[in-house]
Formats: sequence, structure tokens, C-alpha cells
Amino acid sequence: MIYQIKESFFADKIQFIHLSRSGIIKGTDNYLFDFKEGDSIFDAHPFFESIQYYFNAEDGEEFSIPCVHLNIGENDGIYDIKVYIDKDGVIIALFDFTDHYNESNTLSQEKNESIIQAQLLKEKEEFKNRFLANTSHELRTPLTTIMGFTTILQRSNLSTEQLHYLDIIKASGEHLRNLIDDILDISKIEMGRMLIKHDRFDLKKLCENLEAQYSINTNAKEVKFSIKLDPSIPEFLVGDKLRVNQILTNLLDNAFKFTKRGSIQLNISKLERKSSDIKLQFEVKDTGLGIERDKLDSIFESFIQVHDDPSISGTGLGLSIVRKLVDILDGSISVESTKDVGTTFTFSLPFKVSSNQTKEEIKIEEPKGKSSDKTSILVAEDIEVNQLLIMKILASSGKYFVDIVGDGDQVVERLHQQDYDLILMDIKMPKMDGYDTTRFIRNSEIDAIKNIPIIALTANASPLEREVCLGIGMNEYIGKPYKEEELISKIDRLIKEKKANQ
Amino acid sequence: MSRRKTSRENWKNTLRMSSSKKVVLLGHFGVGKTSLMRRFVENAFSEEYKVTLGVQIQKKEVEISERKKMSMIIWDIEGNTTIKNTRLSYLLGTSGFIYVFDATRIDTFNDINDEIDYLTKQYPKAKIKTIANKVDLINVQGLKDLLNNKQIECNYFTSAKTGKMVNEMFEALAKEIIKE
Repeated sequence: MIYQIKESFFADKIQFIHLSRSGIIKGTDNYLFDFKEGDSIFDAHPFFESIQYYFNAEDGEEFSIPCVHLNIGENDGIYDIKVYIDKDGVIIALFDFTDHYNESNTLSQEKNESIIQAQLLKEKEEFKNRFLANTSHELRTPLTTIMGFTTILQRSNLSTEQLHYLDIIKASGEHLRNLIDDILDISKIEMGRMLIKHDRFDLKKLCENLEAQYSINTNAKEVKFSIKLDPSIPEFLVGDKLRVNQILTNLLDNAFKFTKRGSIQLNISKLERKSSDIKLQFEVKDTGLGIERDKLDSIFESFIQVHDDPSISGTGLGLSIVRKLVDILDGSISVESTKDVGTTFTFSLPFKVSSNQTKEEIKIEEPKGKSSDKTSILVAEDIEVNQLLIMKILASSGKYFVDIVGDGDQVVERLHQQDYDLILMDIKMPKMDGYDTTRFIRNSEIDAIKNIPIIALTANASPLEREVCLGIGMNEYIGKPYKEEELISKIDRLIKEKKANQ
Repeated sequence: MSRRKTSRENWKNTLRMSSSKKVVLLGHFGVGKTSLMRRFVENAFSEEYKVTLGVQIQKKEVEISERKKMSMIIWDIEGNTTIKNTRLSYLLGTSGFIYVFDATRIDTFNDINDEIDYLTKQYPKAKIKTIANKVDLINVQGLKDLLNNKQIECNYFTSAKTGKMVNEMFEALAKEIIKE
């Protein structure tokens, strides 16, 4: 009885075919396909032709080929196929699993489609980010020239009106530089190339700097700015000071942009502390324009600007950068806002408490010897307009002798002919780049060459690039476009340190 | 002697007698393996992506020379992120492998050198071609530069959609197999 039931369920799902070793059909039950005795199985479907090598196997061998599509005559299905070899020839068993496979087909289809879509989206994002990063990099070089010559021009004999125009050019240049930095940052974060540092830093000092920076803004506006730092938070923490500062600066810039009167507050409080782990909450609260409820969800997306006011400029990247930075620092951020009342951004970040809570003062001794001596600087820079800019900046200070070369190999040549106090090194040069030149110098057997201070000047401005430059032995790093004061102060500091060590 | 070894040796004997050769299309899912087979065998193309489960097999006579023809039996097997996950029974007895990747999706060719190494070691007698498909959607020179940077060798840049280099690729493989 049970066998009859079994037969009625499976008979039309299984077919056995008996073949000679040369593929001639000797017998079959024809439950699935209509095969004729005496025909060659190889003519039935190319599948059989392509497995004929199994037919020469030894007696007792068996093979299994699952999930094979066979369309023979009007039958079109998916079969698991077994091949048995014995002394009487070959037995092929076909198991019809069409329904079963078709069911799983739907799942595979959906799964594969979603993976393909995700991969294509990823490709597009990466292309966009590469494009943005490259473009930002290319924009930096001409901007350096514009900003540098504007500063030099400001010192020449100009009328008040001309100076006013130069101020406008300079302010626009600064603005453009900030926008480029934003674009570069967002593309680096999205490409996963943002390097997070874990350095000891002074939180109180960071707050003092912010206070000084933004108090200038409050003077011109009817806005009161205050910072409240919970006194129970240890002064020295370990974390990424640069990125914390960037998050706060972005949020405060935004607050100042949208607040005409009232107050802007930065409150920093302790959320929790477990041994050396501490979690802080930062709150940036303003009494500005506020954001409509339906726009709050999209506020952290790239290139979204919720205010349509054309007088308020920006890339729409600031808050997107903030959220992404908070994410990569393992924190979280939220926003609450009421239209025409104000906005509060709250984010929390984890830090380590530094085991050293004492202030370390770096004392640099005054240089010995003749302080009136001019410093001789070798500049390695291949682009003529940049050479001119550096020359102008250094010459106008009257403190330096400057030699300029256009490639790394010329640096090496010059160092063997003359003594220099410092090198300003461009990274991208045609024959020998700044990295190789630095490596060559640091491996020199002549102490005066080996120990010469080197400052990297690069348009590829990023914390990663900075680490690379310092890692191969450069002493300082300046990203283009740079400010004249920054260049001079870094040169002077290194010269002082060098002389103090002599 | 192991069963598998016996079977492989017998296969060599059969190869000498048979004029038909098994060619397997390999690669990630959605790279266009089925489309390449359809374009070559039926000269047809569909934009719609339909997942392949298991294996689909088609056959085409390929002219090697005026007097010589080869019967190419193409196994279009389901996409897999690595050949190591592919059913062994699909790969045995193969004379030529076509490893297809999608020129628009880097994930489909990131590990290609490892995949080809694996194939070469496991099937030293088989001919292998690497194919960048869907080149109608990209700048081919850009892709060549990228492959060059990654030290990836690609034999053909095809488009199943336009038919570009599809017949040429299959025919060149057939000639190479027969030459052996």
C-alpha cells in the first residue's frame, strides 16, 4: 500500500534511462521525457553529450550533477541528475525539482538584484568622491597663488578703495578655501580615508580658542556667545582634537549664520565616566531662525540646504560632515528645533582621560650666536608662479636669503655645494618628488645635510598626507593654500629649534 | 587509484574521440554570462536580468577553418563570488573557461587574479579567457588603465548588448582549444 502511494507521488518526478557506454538508449520508463530505444542520448540534449566522459568510468562509479536545466521537446524543467556506471552499461536518473528550484529562484533573484544595485551605487559614490577629491586638490594650487599675491598686493601702495577691493577678494578666497576643504573632507570621509587620531589634548584650551574666535563675531551682532564647560571634566583628554574642533566650528558657524539676535551657547557636560573612559555631551544652542519639522530629517544629508535664503551661502556639506565625523568618532548626534525660536544640536563623544593632567610647557631657548644673521632657505618648487609667490613672501620679510630650484635632484646638488638653514619642499615634482628627496637627505652621511629642517608644502592637504610627510622625516607640513603668517612662523620656529640644538 | 583520477583519465581518452568540447562561463552573478551565451548562440539579447540557477547548457558549431568545425557545448553556470564555491561536477571535463566580469562593478573583478590562479592550478590543461563585459556602459580606456594599475590581464572587452567582440572571443577560444 505504502509503495503504491509513494509511486503515485513520485512516479512522474523521476525517470530512469538505461544506456550503453556509447550512449545508445537501451531502455527507459519515459515518465518525464519521451526517449526511444536505439536512439543516441547525445542527440537528446547537449548536456548528455558533454558528460559522455563519465560513461568510460569504472564499474560502480556514480556521479551527481544537480540543478540542470533541460528543455527537450515540450518539457522544460530543472533536474538533479545522477549517473551510475555498472557492468550492464550506464544508468541515468533524472529527478524533477522544477517547482522546488523555481521557488528558490525568486529569492535568489531578489537577493542578487539588491546586491547588484548596492554595488552599482557604491561605484557611483566612489566615482563622485574620487572626482571631488581630485578636483579639490587641483583647485588648491591656483588658490594659493591668488591668496598669496593678494596679501603681497595689500602691502603695496594702494588707495583706500583698492584696498577695500582687495579685502573683498581675500574674503572670497578664504570662503572658497573653506568650501574646498568641506568638499575634500566629505569625499575623504565617504571613501574611508579620514584618519582619526588619539592624541592628548587640552579641552579647556580648545574652549578658550573657540571663545576667542567667536567673540569677534558677537561684537558685530546682537548675539551673546557663551561656553559652559563642566568643571568636573578632566582638562586633558585623549582623542582627535582636530575633528572635535571641526565639529564644533561647523555647528557654531551654522549657529552664527542663522542667529541675528539673542544667544548662542556651547555647553559641555559629562555623561558618564568609567575608569579612564569618559563620555561627554556637547550642546550647541541658538536662538536663530530654527528649522521646520519636515526638514529636520534631511538636515544631515550632503548638499542639502534647508534655508532658501540666497544671502546665506554654503555647500550644504557642513552638517553632513558633522554627522559623519561624529559617526567615525563613535558618537551620536541629534537635533531639536522650533521655527523662529531656535535650534539645539546635541552630540556625545567618547574620550579617554589622559593619565597626565599637568601642563607641559615647551621652552625654546633663544638662539645663540648672531641673531641678526639672515637665514638661508632652499625652496624646491617646480611651478613658476608658486616660486614667485614664495620668493615675494620671504623677500618681503627681509630675514631670509632664498635660493629656488625646480626639482628634487637639484636640491641634492645644491646641498652639496652650499649650506642652508632650511628647505621648503614641494611634494609633486617632475623627476624626484619631495618624498624621495627627503629620504635621500635623511640618509646622507654628512650631518649638516642629514639634519637640515624640511617643511613640506603640498596641495594634497590632509591629516594623512601630514603623517606621511612627518613619517619620512620632514619636520613640518603646510597645506596649500597657506597663509603668509603660518609659513613665516613655522620657518622661524624650526630655525629657533635648530639653533637651540646646536 | 582514486575514483576522481580514474574519471579524469578516461575523460582524456574520450576527448580524443569527440569533436565536441565543453566550455564553462564563470564569474559573479549579474555579469552577463547568460547574455553572452545567448548573444553567441541565438544572436539575441534582453535587458532584463534573470538569475541563473544551477546550469543552462547550449551548443553551437564553431567554424575553425574551411574544413574543420568544433561543436562547442557551453555551460552557463550560476554566478558565484568565488570559483571555490562552484559545484565541482560543473567544472570537470572542461576544455575552456571564460571568466566574465562586469566592467561597471569593481567588486566583480577585485579578486580575479586569485580566481584565475586557482583555475590554472586545478585545470592546467584547460584554456582560460578573462572577459570584461558590458563595455558599452563605460570608457574602455579608463577600464584598461584601472586593470593595468591592478595588474589584471583581460583578454576581451565585450558587450553582449551590442554584440561587440562576442563571436570573436568564443571563436578565438575554440581555435585555441582545437590547436591543443
